[in-house]
Amino acid sequence: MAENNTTNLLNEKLKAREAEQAKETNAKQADEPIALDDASRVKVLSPARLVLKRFLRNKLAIVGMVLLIALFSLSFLGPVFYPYGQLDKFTTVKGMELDYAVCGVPSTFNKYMLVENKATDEFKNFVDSFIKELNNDEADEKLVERMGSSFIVTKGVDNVYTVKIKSAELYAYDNIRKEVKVGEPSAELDAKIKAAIENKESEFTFEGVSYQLVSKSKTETGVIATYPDGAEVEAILATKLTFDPVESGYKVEDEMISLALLNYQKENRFTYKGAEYTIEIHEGGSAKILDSTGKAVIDILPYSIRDISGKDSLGGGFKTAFAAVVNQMEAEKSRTGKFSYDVPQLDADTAQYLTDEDGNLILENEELAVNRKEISGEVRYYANYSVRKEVYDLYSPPSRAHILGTDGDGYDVLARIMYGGRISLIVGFVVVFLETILGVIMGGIAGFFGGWVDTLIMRLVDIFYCIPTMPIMIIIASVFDKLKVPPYERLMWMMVILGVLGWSGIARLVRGQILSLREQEFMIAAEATGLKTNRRIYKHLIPNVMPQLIVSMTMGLGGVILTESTLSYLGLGVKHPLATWGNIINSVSSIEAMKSYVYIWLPVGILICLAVIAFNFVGDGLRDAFDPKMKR
Amino acid sequence: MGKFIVKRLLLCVVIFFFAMFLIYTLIYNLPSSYVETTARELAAATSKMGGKNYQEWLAQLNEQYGMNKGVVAGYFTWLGNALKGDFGTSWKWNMACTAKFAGCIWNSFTLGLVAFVFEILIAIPLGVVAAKKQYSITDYTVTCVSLIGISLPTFFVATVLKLIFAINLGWLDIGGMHSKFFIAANATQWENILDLGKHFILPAMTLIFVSIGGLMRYTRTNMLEVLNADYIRTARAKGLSEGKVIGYHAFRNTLIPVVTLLGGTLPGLFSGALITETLFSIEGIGYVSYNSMISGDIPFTMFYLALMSVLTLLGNLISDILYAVVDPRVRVN
Repeated sequence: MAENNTTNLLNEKLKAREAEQAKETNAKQADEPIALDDASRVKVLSPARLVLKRFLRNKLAIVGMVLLIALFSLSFLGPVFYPYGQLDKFTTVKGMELDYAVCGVPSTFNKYMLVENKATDEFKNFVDSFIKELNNDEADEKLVERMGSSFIVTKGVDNVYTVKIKSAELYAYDNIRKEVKVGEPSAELDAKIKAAIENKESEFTFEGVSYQLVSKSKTETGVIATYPDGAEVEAILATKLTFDPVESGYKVEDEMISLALLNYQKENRFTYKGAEYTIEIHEGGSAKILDSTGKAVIDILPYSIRDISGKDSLGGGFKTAFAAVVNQMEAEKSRTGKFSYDVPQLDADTAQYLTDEDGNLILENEELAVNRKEISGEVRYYANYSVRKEVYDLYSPPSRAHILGTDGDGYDVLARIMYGGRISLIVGFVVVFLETILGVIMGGIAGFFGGWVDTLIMRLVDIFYCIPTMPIMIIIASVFDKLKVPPYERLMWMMVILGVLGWSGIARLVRGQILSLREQEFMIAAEATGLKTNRRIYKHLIPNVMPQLIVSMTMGLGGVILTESTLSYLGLGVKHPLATWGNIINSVSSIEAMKSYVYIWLPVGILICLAVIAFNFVGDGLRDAFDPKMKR
Repeated sequence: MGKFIVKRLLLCVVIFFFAMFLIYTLIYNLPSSYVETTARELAAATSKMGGKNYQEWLAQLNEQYGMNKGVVAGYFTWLGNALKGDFGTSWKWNMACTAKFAGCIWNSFTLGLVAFVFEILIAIPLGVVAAKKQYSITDYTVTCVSLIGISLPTFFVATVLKLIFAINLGWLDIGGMHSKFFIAANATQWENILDLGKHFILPAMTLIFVSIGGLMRYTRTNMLEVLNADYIRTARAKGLSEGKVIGYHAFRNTLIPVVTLLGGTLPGLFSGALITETLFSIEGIGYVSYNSMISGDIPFTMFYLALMSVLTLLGNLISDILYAVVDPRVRVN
């Protein structure tokens, strides 16, 4: 009983609760229209949402979608935020070693003639060998004989050599005309010689010098002078010293040099053209010639120092400083040295020396490095200093300023990749849309009308299917190359041609779908309602082909990007200066570049792959989402 | 069956006729300066050796291709000669197009065949395994790898392979047919073949890598379709072992579309690999044609395009016929 009671009690309580609930719901329903409550409603999704739901469940498709969003933002939003454009050329300041001056150690002697006559002229070229003989004997003075003449070669200080005539044929006379042919004898000597020729004497002595007459031919008589010991005549001076004027424009006469050399390291003073000059000897083999007022007019240096272009435009001070360093290096046998001096500054862009308002060079104290070089046996010393020069920043490795470095034109690689992505993606889209429009129109007409129209269009499709795309593109591209079509025009043509060559696949797909859809009830209904043919095809048939179309378009995008990048890689697609992913890789296609600039081509190659993979993933995902029969 | 084949063959002839007409029209209508420039270049190149001058080249070009006859008449001239096997003399190679083709086709064929065999040996088993274990890690890996393979541009694969094997490891040459210091006259036949083979490794790898994905995916998709079929359920219900179900019932049915596809690609072995051969300088038909096309060698270009068209048509024909041969249901219909 007790049990019964409790059950009754429970039942009553439940009834009461149900009644209460019923009341509540009634009250609610009074306000709202009658409908199925949420719990019992069958969840119905629209086809689009169903596809979306299935699509979102596919992991690979999501990965593809994320990749695509990333690539699109990189290509289309990236350039908005990225500070560099695709055609910004970057420069960098590089320290460049600029050769400023060259110092040559003379290998032969400069000869200065004191007495202009037959003997000195003839024997000038032998002086080098005279000096060599002298140095071989390690003597200071030596009697040398050549062709019946004899000379005394004397070694002076600082490589100054004096060649004195001991005995040489100084004059030559014409027998018939009875006058001097070669040489400038004094009037008295002239008379003596003429008398001797007249008297057919073979020799005579005049002022302590003995003369010998030699018959050289029927018409010519030579006069050989032989000087007694200690009375030899100084004829040639040979030296390696160079004589450079302190102020440019000052003409240095050979005669003056001869006089200076005669007195060099001896009296150190001489008179030339009535003016007094003194020689001031410095340490290290250099010297100066001062005029009577004490002003330096000529620098005497052991080396010939010129600026790098070979002009003698360097100041005496610089030469002296440079020569001192070279002297030291010669002594120490070292290959490098340095000194500092005021040198002109170089303009970075034009590689011209900078000048101030008055046209004077702007000088600045620079450290000059001196390097010894031997060029075909000649020793030269180059003085250079480093100049900061602005140059194009080619192939710079990744850095903070250029995340992926710069390419062979000084462009920023990342900027090129962004703009290249734009073109690659746009080409993909344009071509695929062209293909699709052509394909849908042709396929739609063929499928809907059937009969001979269908046969005709399908044969056309077969024909286009049979034409190979890549060879045709290569041929057309090589024609473009020959006609030098501008890059933008070329890009347009490329898209049109790719579109025209590629529509056959889409046309087949659309026709096949339409053939099967045409027989379905909804099309009969559409016909029954009296809709126009146009409307029936494009409003009722085509939307039903959309799923397959979207899938094939997505997959096609990847294919077009591959074709475009391959063409551009071969240099036949989009041309420099426009960037695409293909031609960025092409710019580093040589073996050396491939090895050294991996940071340029690898990211681009990976981006191409990612783009194509992403389109394929998404296309795959869409196919599965549209056609669930295949899955699960 | 015979009637079907004859009908298809006739259709192919018609399609070939019109496709070549289209190509001929394109080449015919290339801006005249192209032809003139080519003639000028040829004249400049050969004049030193006492060759023809510009006018003669132009005249020869016009006559040989009926450029002076108008498109239709010119096309028939070309077609008439082509049907007799006379494709003219290649400008670039200075020999008959067919002779040049005979000289380089076996390089292409060998390369293509090696790649084809490896492709089948790798792709089909992997595709079957992936389908058998759908949604497993194996499946995802195979799907990913095949998609990556499809997505990789040939030139990128070639570049990466060159970097790894030729530059970094130094095992193989970067391109060409023979090693730098290889002299064919001094080598035995075996050494010759060995050296050639060494140079075929990288191009073959590239081809395999690029084409493997498609076949793998195709096999997997078809295998999945077959595995969902009623007769597989029946076979399982009969209590057959899984091995028997997959290996015998499912695999044989999967082979129908796969064999059809592979049969269709067989003629392609003769068309060479345009890009791969060019990248590796393998003197096959692709490399030769690429250089011909780049240098405006019209006779060889026409020959190559005709060859490509015939091979494409032949591929379609073979795959249609194979479909009927392999699948009895088609024959009934």
